[in-house]
Amino acid sequence: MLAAAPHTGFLKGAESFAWSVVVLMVYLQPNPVWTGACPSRCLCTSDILSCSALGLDQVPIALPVSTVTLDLNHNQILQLEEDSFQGLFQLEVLRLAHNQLTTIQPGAFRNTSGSLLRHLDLSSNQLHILKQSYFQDLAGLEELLLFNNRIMHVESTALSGLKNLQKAYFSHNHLTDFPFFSIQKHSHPQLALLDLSSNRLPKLPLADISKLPQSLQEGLYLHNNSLMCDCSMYFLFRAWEQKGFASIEFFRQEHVCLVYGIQRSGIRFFLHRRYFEKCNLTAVTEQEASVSVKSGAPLLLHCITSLSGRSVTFFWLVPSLEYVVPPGNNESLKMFPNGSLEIVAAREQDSGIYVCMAKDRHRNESQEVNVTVLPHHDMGVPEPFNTGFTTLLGCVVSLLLVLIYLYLTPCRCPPCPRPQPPVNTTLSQSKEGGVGSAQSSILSPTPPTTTEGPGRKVSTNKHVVFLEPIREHQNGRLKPGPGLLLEAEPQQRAGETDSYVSVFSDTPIMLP
Amino acid sequence: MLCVCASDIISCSKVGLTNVTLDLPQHTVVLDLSFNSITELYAAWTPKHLNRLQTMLLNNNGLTFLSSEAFVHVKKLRYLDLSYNGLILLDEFIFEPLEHLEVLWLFKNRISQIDRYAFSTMGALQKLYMSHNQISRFPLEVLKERSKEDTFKLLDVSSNKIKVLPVQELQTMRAWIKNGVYFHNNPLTCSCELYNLVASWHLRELNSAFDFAGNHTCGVSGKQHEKILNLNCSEVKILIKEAYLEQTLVLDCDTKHKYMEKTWVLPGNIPVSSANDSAIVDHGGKDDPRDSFHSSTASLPLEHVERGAEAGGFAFGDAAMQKIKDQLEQNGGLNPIGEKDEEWLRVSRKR
Repeated sequence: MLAAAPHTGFLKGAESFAWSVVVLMVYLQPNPVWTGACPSRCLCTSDILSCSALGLDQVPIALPVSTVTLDLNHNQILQLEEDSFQGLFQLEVLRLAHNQLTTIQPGAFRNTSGSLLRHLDLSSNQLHILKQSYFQDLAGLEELLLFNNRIMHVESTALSGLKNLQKAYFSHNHLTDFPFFSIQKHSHPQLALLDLSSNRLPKLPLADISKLPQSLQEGLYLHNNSLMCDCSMYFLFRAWEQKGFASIEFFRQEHVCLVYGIQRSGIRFFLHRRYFEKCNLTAVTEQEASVSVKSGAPLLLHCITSLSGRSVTFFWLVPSLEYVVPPGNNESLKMFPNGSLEIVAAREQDSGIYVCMAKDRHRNESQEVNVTVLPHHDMGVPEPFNTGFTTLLGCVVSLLLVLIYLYLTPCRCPPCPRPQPPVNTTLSQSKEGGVGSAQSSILSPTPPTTTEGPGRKVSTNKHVVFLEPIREHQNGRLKPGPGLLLEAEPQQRAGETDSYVSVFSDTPIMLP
Repeated sequence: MLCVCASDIISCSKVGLTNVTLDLPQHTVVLDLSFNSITELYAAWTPKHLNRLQTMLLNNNGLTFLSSEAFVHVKKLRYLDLSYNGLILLDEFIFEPLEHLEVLWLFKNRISQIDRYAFSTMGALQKLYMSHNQISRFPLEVLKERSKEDTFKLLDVSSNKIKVLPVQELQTMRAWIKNGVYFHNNPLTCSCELYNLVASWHLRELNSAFDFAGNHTCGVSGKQHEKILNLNCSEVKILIKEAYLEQTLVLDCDTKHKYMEKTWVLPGNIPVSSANDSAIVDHGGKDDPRDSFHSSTASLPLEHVERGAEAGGFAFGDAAMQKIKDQLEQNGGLNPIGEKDEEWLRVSRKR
């Protein structure tokens, strides 16, 4: 370190040539590292060293030690040799994107800032393999960008030791497998994004993936691969979709799988779910909706999605592979504009997966319901004695017995002639006539009959007990018969009105 | 146009883009538009709000015009690279929406005019790079608004056309701010005031002065270019405190990094502990010395101080160990500032 002189002048004019010779000589030894001047054509400013797009074919030597950010993007660097960045003890960000890198020599990042380096961009290069030695000196790495290379294989220990890794991008490579087992909660506790999209993965090690921490599964991007369509793979993505994972939500259409692994047979499995309906869905998570209904009973299914608003359209895909839109199919299915589907009378062949699709201008969502129609003989425990039928039966039997008593038992008294009340037919009041006719209709068929019986309601404006000269007790006053209906009419009408009012007064009038 | 979409990164670097409108997905976090031909940027470059966009790279585009609405849809930006373009002036509106911006790269443009309110709404700004432009006025307002806050780290106005530095105001700032104020390679006017500043910063080994030691130059009437540190001015020492017996002296521990654990050592290498009643250490009102990122002051009643002795403040931390030695001068005795080699500790991420 410096002595106590108040100022130092390192490269004073005339001595600069001599110094540069010394610098060169010192550099040729393995140690020590000297403060480097700014490489030619690069731009050195405060803690940034910018050497982008200079046609460089290797990393410049003797870089300033104060560099925190080193930008070597858009050059033609072919490989990283050992100690390429030695002496850069403050280096935090290293950009090497858009070069021609094919290999990284062991020790490339030796004698650099060690765990200070947190962002390494190697995207858009020609790397074809990730070896264990590549990142072994970068224990502090947080973001590793390797997209758009030609990587075919990642060694199982390539990422070990990267304890601070948060985001790793491997998309747009040629990967056919990936060591998921090397990533665990204790080895990569911060890893929240692992992008393996746009590769050639044929089959996923589902057991290893399920063991990944949930926080990582949420950021695991596997879309646009060469996945074989099979049920277990579908279940994994379904579960992620139901948990609302961003990896599914933002790339729904890009999740493809190949039927029987044939390249041209890719299907977007979030859009065409019926291919997977034959999968044994009992294995799926508890969030799957399933409904049972008895054969012959109606069933109403709702379409529950997060889409709302006027421009949302719905349609259902039913087990018979029909697409149903409102108002339905005019036979067995009715569909409402709000997306609900009614099976008018469930038949056994209506069992299966019902998929509702809700679509607005920008997004679509779907929901599945598993419907099971239980056949008749399969009703399970026979129902206990049906009280409704019992009551009705009792009612009918009682009525029959009463009628038998009335008509089949001998009558002791001859029928007495009753004075018929004179009916005033000139009255044009339709109401009165209606009342009169109502009364006479009550009078005529049978002698004392109770209008009361089990299950029959008593209307409050008819006080019919025994059929004597009509005395209507309304408003507490005894009224004479129909002959004097003219006078009594207002009261009667008032009484009717009152009774109507009393019927309706405690029920508020509901306007549609 | 062959952009590469890697989950939340969209890379459209060097794909021949001109002034286009991009319909970008809402989940985009990083957008690389570097090395294209986007010469003008209006609000319409993205029709939708991109609420997740944190990093935007627009360097090397020949960009000459930024409308006042250019960044209205990307309010959550934290990192913006506008370097290597042709911007000429910065008005008060361009960066107004960017209240979360932390790092702004503006170097290698043609900026000659900066509105005084150009950066006033950027409350989260930590690093502002404006070197290699045509700036003639030192933007002191950038520092003054932020010197009270803990987050601002770096202002780079080196390699510009600045003639006058606000020396007085700069000297009143904390060391960790001075550490990040880079002004080398400017046509400054020589003065002993300027020399004092540069020399004291150099003595303190502040990055801004030390890393570019040979580039601090000044001129007299714009002609000669002399190295500031070669000027014939009186010698500069870091800190001299003069006091008399029975007086209480307050010494400040002004470190060039924040978040450093500070301890004090009395003359004769006696550490100051709370049990030691000869000196009281005040860690800015907090109990844990590691919390005292602003200051640490030690009050020394002077009857215990020997003649001409040294007291030292040691600042430990996550960064390299550094020392600040205060000299206590009594009756004219002067001790040279000696510095021992200290063990260099690993630098950690958190500054």
